[in-house]
Amino acid sequence: MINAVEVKNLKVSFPTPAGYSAVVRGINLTIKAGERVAIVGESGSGKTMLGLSMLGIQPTSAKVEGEVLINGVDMVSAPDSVARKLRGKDISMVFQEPLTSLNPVRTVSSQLSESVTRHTNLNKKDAAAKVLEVLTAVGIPSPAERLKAYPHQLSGGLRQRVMIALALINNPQLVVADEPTTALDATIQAQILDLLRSGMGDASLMLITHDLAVAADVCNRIVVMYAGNIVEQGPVAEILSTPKHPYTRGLLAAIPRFDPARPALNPIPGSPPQITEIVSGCRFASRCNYADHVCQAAEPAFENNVACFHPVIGATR
Amino acid sequence: MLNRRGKALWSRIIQLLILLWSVSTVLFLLLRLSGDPALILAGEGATPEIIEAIRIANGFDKPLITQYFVFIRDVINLDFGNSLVNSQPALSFVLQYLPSTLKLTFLAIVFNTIVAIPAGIWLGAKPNQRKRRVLSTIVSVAQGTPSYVIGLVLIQIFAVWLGWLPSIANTGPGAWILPTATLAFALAPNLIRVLAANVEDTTRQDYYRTAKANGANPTELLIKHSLPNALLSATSLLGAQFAFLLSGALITEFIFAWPGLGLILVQSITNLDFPTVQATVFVVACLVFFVNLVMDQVFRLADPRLRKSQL
Ligand SMILES: Nc1ncnc2c1ncn2[C@@H]1O[C@H](COP(=O)(O)OP(=O)(O)O)[C@@H](O)[C@H]1O
Ligand code: SF4
Ligand SMILES: [Mg+2]
Repeated sequence: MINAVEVKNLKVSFPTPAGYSAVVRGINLTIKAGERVAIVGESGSGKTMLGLSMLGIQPTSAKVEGEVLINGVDMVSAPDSVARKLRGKDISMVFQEPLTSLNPVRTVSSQLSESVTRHTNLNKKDAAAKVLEVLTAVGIPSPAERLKAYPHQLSGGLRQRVMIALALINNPQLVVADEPTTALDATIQAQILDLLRSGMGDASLMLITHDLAVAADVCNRIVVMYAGNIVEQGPVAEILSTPKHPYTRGLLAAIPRFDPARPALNPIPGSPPQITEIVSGCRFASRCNYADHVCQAAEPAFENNVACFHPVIGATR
Repeated sequence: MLNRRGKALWSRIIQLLILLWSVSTVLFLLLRLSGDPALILAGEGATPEIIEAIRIANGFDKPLITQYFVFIRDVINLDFGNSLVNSQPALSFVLQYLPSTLKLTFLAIVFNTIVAIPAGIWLGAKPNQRKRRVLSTIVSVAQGTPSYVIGLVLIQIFAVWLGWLPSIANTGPGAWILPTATLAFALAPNLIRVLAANVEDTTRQDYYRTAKANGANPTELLIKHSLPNALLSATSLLGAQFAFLLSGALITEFIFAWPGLGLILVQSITNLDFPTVQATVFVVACLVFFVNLVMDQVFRLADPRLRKSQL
């Protein structure tokens, strides 16, 4: 089976007064065809920068190193004229704010057909048919009437369906969805999660979320990020039943439904290191109950799906 | 209940009425309180009989309050009296010059737009930094220069030194160039800056990032995503500029002896031709009012967010 994407030692850094500082610190990640992978972590852990740099649309001040291989093209080193041929065609992205992410002064159909005609040889008529087809596929009721609508005329849920339609319209092999339901009401959220779980066709999904429950609901595999690193990864069932990294356990404990004994949310005390902060040793040590002198001395390597000197063995209570 | 637009329209109309009323009242008082109005109107060398005849014809012998009510009634009937210089009804005399002023204003708007839109877009789309600084500096300097200075400089260069272009009166297309350029020079810097800022702002918007994420190239990003938004946000400025342009046109007309409302206004003030002054101010105020009204409607139609409600 071919891979949708191979990310190799990906680093994203921003200039600071003290030189470049990495917010994505050497990520290795392979997503297989048809797989749905969740990237989970607190706000500020580098999830969005990981997603943006995989498409090569990171902020201009960012420096990106490493490789992102899609269909044999390295999105990092390829010139923009090559990389942009893959954007919207082989890899696409759904953003958190559907209202501001769609062009406010252009109709839904013109924004969708723009992407079709850019990447295919379809004529106007066939492109219009394709637009209607994909709007139907993402569950937009009476899609023909929505074609001439402007984004502000649609509800939040419909707008996010339009964004997903835009991401799917050229049958990409990977869709990156960055907190796609965070801006939506709870009921609409559930509908969009359904769509992401079962309505993506052949596309693989990389779902970025701060919410482990959402990740478990939609995906096959969970990748936990902390302060720019992957600290643990595994199939959903394993992460939920036998999390090995203290940070993953902390995230789990913060979700009431996975720990009925503890009804209140229990967020992990403290906060991740700042972008400019130099940390020797494990970057989670200042917040970790298991930290000892070993953890202070060196940074743990990622081995056996976890980056921790003292991985927890056994199930959660 | 009036909706918001209805309220805005009414408040505009009321503003216009207050403006017209206060200008009329000031002119009324100026004429009556700055000495003997009959003497002023009669001019130098008039015999006492003529002065007395003027006094009676204009009702200056009546109490001030009576005169005021008669005056306001006449204004409401659009009767400003006859020009003291040529004895034509002041309003129709002024209206003869309206097309000429409108032509100048229109040409200036077109010229301004032709220059400022590409320049603003280019500046906003981040060309190399040095070129950008050069144009920014030119724009800042031009923005700080009053239009009459620009007009006089242009006359000096193109009419006096080079002798390429006529500098006075409306004697054909060649004579349009300098006054139009003068007006456009006064407007373009502002439009350029606003457009440049708008274009730059669009590149930081989420929809711009979405377009990038879908493979748009730099040209598509600029034309299909930046421009529609940047131009729409600049339209309100264009509307304000039109109103500003009229006042600029008045000054420019005077510099270039362009036969329009501005020239008439200056001449009638110099001649103490009060009816003509009043008719001119009246026409200009109404013009600004209608231009603003029409501009508002045009931009409302252009912006889909203002045009339709929720589907
Ligand atoms: N344009 C930028 N310049 C400098 N730092 C940035 C910029 N954008 C994001 N960052 C930093 O990168 C880190 C990761 O951000 P992000 O990827 O948005 O995290 P997440 O999506 O996990 O919340 C944060 O510490 C943030 O402050
Ligand atoms: S390496 Fe040490 S400090 Fe880091 S998570 Fe594991 S136990 Fe905690
Ligand atoms: Mg984010």
